[in-house]
Amino acid sequence: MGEWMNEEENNHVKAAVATFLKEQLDPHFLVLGATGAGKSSLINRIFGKDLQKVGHVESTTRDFKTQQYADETGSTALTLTDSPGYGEVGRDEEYSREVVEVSRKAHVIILVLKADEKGYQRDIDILSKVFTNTEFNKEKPLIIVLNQVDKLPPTREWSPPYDFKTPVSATDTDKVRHIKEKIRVVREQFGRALECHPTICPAMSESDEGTILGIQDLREQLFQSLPDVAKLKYARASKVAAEASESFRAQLDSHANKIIAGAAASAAAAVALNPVPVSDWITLVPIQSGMVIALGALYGKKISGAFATETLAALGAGFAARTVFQGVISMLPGIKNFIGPPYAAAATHGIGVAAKAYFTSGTAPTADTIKNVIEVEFERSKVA
Amino acid sequence: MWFLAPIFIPLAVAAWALQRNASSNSSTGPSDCPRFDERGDIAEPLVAVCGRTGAGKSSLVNALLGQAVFDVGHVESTTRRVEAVRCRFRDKEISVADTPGYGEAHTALEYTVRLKNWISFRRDKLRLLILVLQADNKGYSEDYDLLESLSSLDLKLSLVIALNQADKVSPKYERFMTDSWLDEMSRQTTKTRNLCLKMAATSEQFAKFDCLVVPTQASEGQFNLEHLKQLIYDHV
Repeated sequence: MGEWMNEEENNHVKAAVATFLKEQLDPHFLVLGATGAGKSSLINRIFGKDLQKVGHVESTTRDFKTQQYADETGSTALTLTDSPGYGEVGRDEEYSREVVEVSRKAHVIILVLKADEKGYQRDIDILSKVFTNTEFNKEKPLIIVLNQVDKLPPTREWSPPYDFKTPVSATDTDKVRHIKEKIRVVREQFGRALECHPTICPAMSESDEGTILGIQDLREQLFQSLPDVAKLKYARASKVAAEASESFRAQLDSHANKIIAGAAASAAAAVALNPVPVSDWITLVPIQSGMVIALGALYGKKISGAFATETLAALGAGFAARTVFQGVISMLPGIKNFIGPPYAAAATHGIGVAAKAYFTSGTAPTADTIKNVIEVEFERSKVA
Repeated sequence: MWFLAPIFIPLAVAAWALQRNASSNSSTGPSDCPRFDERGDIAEPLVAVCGRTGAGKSSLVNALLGQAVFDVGHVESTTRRVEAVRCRFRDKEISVADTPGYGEAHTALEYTVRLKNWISFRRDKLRLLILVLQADNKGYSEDYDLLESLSSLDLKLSLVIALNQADKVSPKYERFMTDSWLDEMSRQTTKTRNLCLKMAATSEQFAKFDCLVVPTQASEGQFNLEHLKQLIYDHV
């Protein structure tokens, strides 16, 4: 597989992957909640067991434990800062200062509540102190997870799947009604006390029967709450695409299109000043490798240089291996000896669309399909 | 009496407005701490039930008395003041007081002061305090802090901890087959083992308050209530 690129070209790809990884932020979540709310089991559910702890980061705050996790390639996938559950009453001031401190680095704050409790005094007290601290950034997304919803009355009723997003209706069972009411009450209580609009996610991260609920919704919610630069590593670590809901699939696709458009623009810019000879087409490969890696991460695939070259090779399987890109490019109408910006953009776009199809369907598109995409894209750029 | 109307109608309107205000602001703001004025009849001997909001105090009292005396809610806090009822308990006449739960926003200190005052004021009548904990919760730091704060009153009363909602102890799908803890223990199921561990841990955590821990369940089926009734009877 690897022989279609020589050593030097391979190094280009590796460098591109390294640059990509450097540009991507490691998503950082701050997880808060009382003892017994189910913080650990929830985190394990969201990110699965295949993430490895890679030692903890020395924390300056005494109550918080910051842990880094890596995926199988060894690169850091995410950072979690976990509160230990609230200790004695009367230490709220000190504790909330620690939350403010840790929250500077976190992208999203996740508060885990036990759904079948009624008073969330400690949580509201501490978060109120955090939110009124002038050094706290109120724009930071807050996601409140109502965990253990199966324990809301009637405890015996349990027949998922449930839909908690629709308004309360007469056909709802008691269980569904209680959960929907709980979501409303928690949204109002925290929203009013903190003057914000928290996202409420009902969930069940653990049960004796091994069933779970609401975890995928939560994964999708976290993706939406993260800044773009932290989304890819998160998507890779959480495998959020694997069980994506229909509405979320559309979001993923539009994010993928953004990545492709960005890479196409970079490719165009790269050749704008110095058009490269067709035979040197490989100099655009690093940009395309970066794009393939980004798309792969988004759809939960591996992140590595070898993965990028393998994927590019798989996409080019219909061509003679070494000349995959020359092959594509020479099929385009009107191409002479040099690649100008529109060709570079169109070709990169074509490879991006092919890679996206490859990651979502698992099969590499045929050479003709890739060629068609490139041609359409090229025509479109001429119109523009 | 018609001439009193100008006085009573504005008073009634004001009272209604106050109450409306209180209920529409439910569970926020520093002034929303539950009150400790009583409704009902408090006589000697008195048994008081306290605990976190949602622990199941009212359900437990209703189940003990065998009738729905107090309102029970599923989502929001229900009991907003001390509700007392005088009743016949076998051959004894007792009063049972259901107190508002703690754990709502901004009220920890205010609540503790009010409950302490209430208990202190009735210390001569009060024989037994039942602290209701939710069996599947962890931590109980608020409950511990409350008992710690009450200990300064130097009360001469007995303390029972009811580990309520015992049916939620893992595994949740396993059911109690009998309604008594003693019988259930002999069945040696995973649930009873876990419950045993929980009782032991709770006894240890609250050891300095010299209390007895009993498991209970009062809604969607009843469990071990006769045991708790016997304890109440023995202490009044």
